[in-house]
Amino acid sequence: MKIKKPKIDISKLSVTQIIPKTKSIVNDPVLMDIKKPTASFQLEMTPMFNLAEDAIKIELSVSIDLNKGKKLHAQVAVFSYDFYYQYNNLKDLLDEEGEIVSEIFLTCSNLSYSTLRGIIYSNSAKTCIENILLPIVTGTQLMEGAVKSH
Amino acid sequence: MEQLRSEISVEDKALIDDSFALSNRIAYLLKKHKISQKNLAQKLQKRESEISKWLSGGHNFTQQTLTKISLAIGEPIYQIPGAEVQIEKAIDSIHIFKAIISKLVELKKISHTHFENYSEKEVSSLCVGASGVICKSATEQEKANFSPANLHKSDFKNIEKAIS
Repeated sequence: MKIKKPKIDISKLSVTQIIPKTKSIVNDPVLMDIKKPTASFQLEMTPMFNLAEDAIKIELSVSIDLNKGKKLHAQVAVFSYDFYYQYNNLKDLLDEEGEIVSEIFLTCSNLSYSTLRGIIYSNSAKTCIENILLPIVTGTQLMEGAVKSH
Repeated sequence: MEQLRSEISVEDKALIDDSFALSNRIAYLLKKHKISQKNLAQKLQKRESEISKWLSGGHNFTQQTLTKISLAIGEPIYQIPGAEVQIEKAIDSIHIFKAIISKLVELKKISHTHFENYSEKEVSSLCVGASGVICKSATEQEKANFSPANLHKSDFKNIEKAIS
């Protein structure tokens, strides 16, 4: 008999804390003068959990590079945040192998990334990354540390 | 007399200056710790007259004698900057660096750059790279309480495929 895979009840999930670890934008006037630069993004994500505390932690870092032909290739911003979530009875999400189902990590990862996307956008006004919006990525791309051009 | 003084070499003059400085320091420490010359003489198994001669200045102290005196008094006569001082200096440098950056931001030499305020204890490392100042806070240390999720790259892919 096939054991039913636990399903996530989204009403049991809540964000408990968002902690910035690094917020840094280099805003040299030279960078502001560059017309239509392209941007590349490097993402790093580590999903973690604490079963006893019913807690999930997503460590998410984004670094932004500005490029302009062969003239410029510089890392101009780094954002690194820890997102903490609470899921009532996290044990309910253990599968038959005793592992927490990956769906909850995908949900938390997507929530964290979209939140960080908003944070970066609101912090980037009047800086060299003002018009650069983090791309929409899939959970898979997040896991792979997608590098996207904008 | 003036001629004699002018004949003293720079090296000898520096030696005499150091010797008087050491004598003054020892006299100060004896007073501070309420140790008489007689007591110090007893501790060092020397004659009181010898201690008196040392304190009058001009004695060429050996390293061994200075160490013995330090131990007898219970406080170093001098300190060579060591690791602790270097750490203090490093922390001072961080403060100075932060102040410079803040000033530059204030003067709009660097505009709209974000620097988080972390307390000294929280700063586990400080790197200065192309992207500015990167402070790693104590939250990284909280990692110990969390276990990494046992995920494979294909896990999310499969879910996403199923959803779409």
